[in-house]
Amino acid sequence: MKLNNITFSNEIELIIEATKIDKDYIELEKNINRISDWNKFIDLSYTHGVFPLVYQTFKEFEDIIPQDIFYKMKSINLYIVKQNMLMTSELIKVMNLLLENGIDAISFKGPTLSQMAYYDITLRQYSDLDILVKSKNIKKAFKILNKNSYISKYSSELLDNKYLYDISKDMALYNEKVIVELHWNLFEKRFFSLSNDFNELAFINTSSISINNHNIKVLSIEFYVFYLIIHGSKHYWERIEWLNDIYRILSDNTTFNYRKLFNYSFKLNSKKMTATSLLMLEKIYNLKFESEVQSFMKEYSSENIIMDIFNIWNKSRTEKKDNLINIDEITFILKFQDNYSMKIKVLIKLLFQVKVDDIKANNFKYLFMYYLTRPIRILKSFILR
Amino acid sequence: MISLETKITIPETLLLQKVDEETILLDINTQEYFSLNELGGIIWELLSKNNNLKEVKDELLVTYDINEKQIIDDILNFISALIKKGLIEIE
Repeated sequence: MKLNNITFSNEIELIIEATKIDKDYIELEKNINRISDWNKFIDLSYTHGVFPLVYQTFKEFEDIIPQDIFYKMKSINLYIVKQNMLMTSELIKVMNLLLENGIDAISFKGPTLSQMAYYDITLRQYSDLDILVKSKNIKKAFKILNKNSYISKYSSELLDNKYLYDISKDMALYNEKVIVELHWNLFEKRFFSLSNDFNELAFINTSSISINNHNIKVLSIEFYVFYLIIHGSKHYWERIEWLNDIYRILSDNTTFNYRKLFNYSFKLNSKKMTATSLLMLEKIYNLKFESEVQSFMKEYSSENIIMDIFNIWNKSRTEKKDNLINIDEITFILKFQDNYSMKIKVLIKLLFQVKVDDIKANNFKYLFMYYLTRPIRILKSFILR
Repeated sequence: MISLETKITIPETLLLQKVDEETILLDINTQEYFSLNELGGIIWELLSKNNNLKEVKDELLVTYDINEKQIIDDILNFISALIKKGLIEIE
């Protein structure tokens, strides 16, 4: 099996070990002593979104870490803690505001995921708040946030354009401290052959979580894990944090209903993503799965995709390029599709994708007009650059 | 006048987090941060379980080797500072 031969760089191995629940302290000490470029390692663990977890583990090795580096880690962690507290307080405020105005809202990722996976709002890195509301309520929610000092680069009138709901999934609003992404969809339709059922499923599969005695609506655990799998796959698991979130949730929930997870993946054409992600969890964190899960993984997972992801982790990471078309992203998304007809469908959607700015710039009567003029817009942007 | 008989309430608008040896408080309404030192953090933790200052003092006396007068002074000074900042309320 190819996956058994994979070797990670010392830094990646250390990050993985430091974020496990049961750690191998001998291995950790050995790998910490091998770090040659501490700043690079700190950057890497920050980029992978697991800095707070790494710091918690490294506190136990303070004696073997250079003092200046340890203080640097301590101050980065303090910054994350304060930032997360601020975002959590803002989430509580915004959720209350929406609720008071009769808007059903679900918080996902951010503080509630941190609380759900780590029982602590500070052990995850997040930079914005994601809130899902039903499409019919989006304009009302937007205006409420507007009234409460949140601004957006787009006006609320744009939300009257029905095509916006097909080509995008959210609209960002911000105040001087926090960004709120108001979602009407969990994913852009162009990325997957997901049906509209996905959003409907979100609102009928909810649960709640308590932060500081405030109950906040979240996705139910199985649906949440399913969402996290799709989200991580969409971004080809570029952050170890995303995998770690699922690992923590699954490790702590012995009653997790895998059949529900499989049903979602069948219903929403994402068997390969689900099986491959579970296999990754098994390989990296030694999660033990029962035979039913093993069979599912065996049938639908792709070891090649995992090898690709691990190889990306091992390479030094580069800044995301702001290309008109991101070839790497398209390649990965296509690899994750369950069959060829879906690959073709998704490819067409990706190549002719319409952006929010296109909707803002042109008020076409028919959606196909946006697709038809897409090549011209690409060319125009290219020339302007 | 604050004494050990004073009953206090911690409002739900405060978010508390322990970080290393510090305790950070965030007032959700004003979004202002406050940092408590180690002893402040311990007193706060005891207060959140039991708002009776006398019992807080007794618990501290059992755990720490400090004289009673010193502990009472520390508690009362701490509580006065918290009231001044609007972080706790007197019942």
